[in-house]
Amino acid sequence: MDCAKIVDSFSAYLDNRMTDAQKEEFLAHLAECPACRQEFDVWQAMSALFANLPQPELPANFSSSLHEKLLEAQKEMIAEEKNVLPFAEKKKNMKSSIPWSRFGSIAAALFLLVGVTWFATDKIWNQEKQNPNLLAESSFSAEGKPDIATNDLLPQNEGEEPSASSGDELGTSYGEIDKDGMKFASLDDATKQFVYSNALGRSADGHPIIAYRGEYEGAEEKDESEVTEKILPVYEVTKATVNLPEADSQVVITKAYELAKQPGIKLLRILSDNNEQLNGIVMVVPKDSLNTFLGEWNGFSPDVKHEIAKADISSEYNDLITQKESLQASNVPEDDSRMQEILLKLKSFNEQLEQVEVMIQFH
Amino acid sequence: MALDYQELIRRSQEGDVEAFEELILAHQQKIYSIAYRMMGNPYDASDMAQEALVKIFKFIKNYRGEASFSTWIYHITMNTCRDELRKKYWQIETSLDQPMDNEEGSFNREIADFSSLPEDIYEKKELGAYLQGLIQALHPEYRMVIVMRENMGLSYEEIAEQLNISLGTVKSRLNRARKCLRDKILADKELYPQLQRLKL
Repeated sequence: MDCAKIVDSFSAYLDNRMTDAQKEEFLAHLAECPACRQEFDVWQAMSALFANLPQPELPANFSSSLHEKLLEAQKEMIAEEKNVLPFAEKKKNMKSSIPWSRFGSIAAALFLLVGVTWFATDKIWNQEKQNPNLLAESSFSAEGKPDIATNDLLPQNEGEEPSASSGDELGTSYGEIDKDGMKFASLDDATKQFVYSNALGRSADGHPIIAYRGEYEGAEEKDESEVTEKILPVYEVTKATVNLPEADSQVVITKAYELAKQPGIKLLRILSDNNEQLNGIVMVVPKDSLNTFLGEWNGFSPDVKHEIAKADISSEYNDLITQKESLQASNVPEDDSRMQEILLKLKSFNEQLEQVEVMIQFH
Repeated sequence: MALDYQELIRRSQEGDVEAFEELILAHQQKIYSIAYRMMGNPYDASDMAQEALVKIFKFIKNYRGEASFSTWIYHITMNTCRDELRKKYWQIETSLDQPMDNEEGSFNREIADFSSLPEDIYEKKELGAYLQGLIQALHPEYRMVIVMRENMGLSYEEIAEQLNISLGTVKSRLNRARKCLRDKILADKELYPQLQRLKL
């Protein structure tokens, strides 16, 4: 091996990435080449310098500031779990980002499951006066659903949310503001506070709207079918790893080629480093034959380990479907570039859903 | 530890902030340290470490134990820093891993911009700050492999997977980054008695 190659392999030696034979060759060269040896000493000393770099000190307010952010995140997560979403927005995104599948799991013992319940009140943010005819002023469509521009339902300004001091207002009557016939005033304070904290935006005519989909005590129980039809399937992409101990690479490659003859199984790539040492093989396997495929490697060693990881792509997938449907609804032809892009992405998603990428690697 | 580790994970998955804080207590320093090496200053490091920890809190319900908890959280930390760097000033140079000509000057400029090292690094003569400055001057692509290897102790396979590059690329980037750092350290060794003691 010449000196340039030796210098190029310093990292491989320092990081213990050499086979015994390579190590032997490397050390033999150092033994007889003072220049390379001196240079290697420098690399070793430098590596030690970086490895022993003192850890930077955590800022004094790190934990307290993190605590605040975590509480904020917790609040967001609770809101998300409770599926707070204005109807118009929900209708638009019916098949997208709402974690419907989780809907059932969060039902607290206190609360009954209901469909969509609407509250509207002007008292919460705008404490000037109570409007007894709120229902009449909010416009409802023929199906009895509020017909309000989406933008008006989105939170306009966090600062406008009810403050803690408005808690006194909780006990006051807001009239019959619930189209399901439930009197808001009859709710206990904790439930009202919950509804407040999940309030969203204002209606087109300027009234604050609380749109609340979820569970609360005393609510009417809805027909379950209404909820079920909104539950979307979960799409999960699977990746698998087979960890084999350092084995005879040729045997493994032969085995991989043999397996690739089976229908649906493909050998995607062989990973090797600069020294052409085999590091791994990536294969593609149909989802339904994954277990059989993984079982094929069991004979190799008693130490063989399989790992299966899943990634949820439901939100992206459903978004694509929604986009596709909305283009179809506006009669956009299939050869339109937007449509083509969506179809291509969907195709790739479908492939990812049906196939599993399996990485066979050595450790 | 007051509570069982698995119990802390389970409670964190239910959104319990206190349990989560206890769970990550032992990892906080390392997460900050990774962010510091990547971002190069305590302000951005603190922001990124906290952003990563909030992400971990939000996503912990999806954590099923496929990877070890520490691997998983350091991975999220690295990705958070990476996204931020990308947003800030990352320009991926396609020629990065192509063979380059042997003009030493241009070779080094592409990997690192040592001209951007702040003057006070030299004035303070603090070796730690100096070495951090060198890491910081590296192109983000190279900085990442150095941090992942030296700071996080990841294997080549783990680095390759996280950065979606081949093992060969991991190896060549590490080697080139180290060579680049070595050149700079040798050039500056007179400034630091610690470097001289190491017989660099």
